[in-house]
Amino acid sequence: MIRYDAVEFEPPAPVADLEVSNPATHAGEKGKAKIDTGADISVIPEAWAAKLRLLPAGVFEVSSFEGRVTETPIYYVNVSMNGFRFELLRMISSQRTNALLGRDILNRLNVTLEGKTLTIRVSDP
Amino acid sequence: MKATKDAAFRFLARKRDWVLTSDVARAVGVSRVTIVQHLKELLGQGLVERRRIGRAGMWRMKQSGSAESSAVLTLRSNETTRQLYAERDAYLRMRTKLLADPRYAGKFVSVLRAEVVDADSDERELVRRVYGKYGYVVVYVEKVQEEKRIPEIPSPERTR
Repeated sequence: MIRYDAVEFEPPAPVADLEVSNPATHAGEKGKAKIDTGADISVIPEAWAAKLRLLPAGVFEVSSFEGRVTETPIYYVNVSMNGFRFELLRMISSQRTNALLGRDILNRLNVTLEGKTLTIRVSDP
Repeated sequence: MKATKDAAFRFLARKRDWVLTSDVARAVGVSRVTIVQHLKELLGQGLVERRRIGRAGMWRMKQSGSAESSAVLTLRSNETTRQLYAERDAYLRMRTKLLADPRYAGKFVSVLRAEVVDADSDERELVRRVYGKYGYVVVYVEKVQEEKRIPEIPSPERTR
């Protein structure tokens, strides 16, 4: 069981432990990632991409909540979310300081949000 | 005349991607010379963008706000991103042919050194093979499809 993050987010937000690694060097970066069921694709901070020396493998146009469309690079990375591992998933980067877990990753698992107790459960049935 | 210009704009709005001048002309049903006149008017009105790839002209509907994130602007300044956009330009030049080729239509393709080096309906398998064969290099991966969907990351956040 994982607690919502009530320090960084107001109201408290469900977060997971995320590790993203370079598929060639296996250098990794760890941090908290906000679970965002509204996001079509997962996002890492630009700083992670730079530190891991990720090489772009495409360009995505993405739409923000106000409908603004921007271009951003795509990276293929290895991902570990609360111990569940996935290879060569597509992620984009942005100027965020934390990562976002979108439905492209969340839909591979069972994620239960228990808002009353501010906890989440993650499982792979 | 206005109908032709409107048709060109609607076509670009539907495509949501860079399109060759000749493809716009074909879609609208006029000559290349005629469509360029209309596209230049749309350009002057700030409704479309133009870029050149060699001798070919490409057009797309102008993106709202900044067309490029800071990530791309930063990346564009280095060699890695120059390579990425060179591969992307190569893909865009080949796109019409790839769409018509059953070996590639509907599949993910990887473009390296301006050539399609592999294709697969499984994106991750394709990337695994490409990195395995060519090493960890800048490659352009794209699904060959008519319409392009723009992913949403719509959640607004409060700053603390």
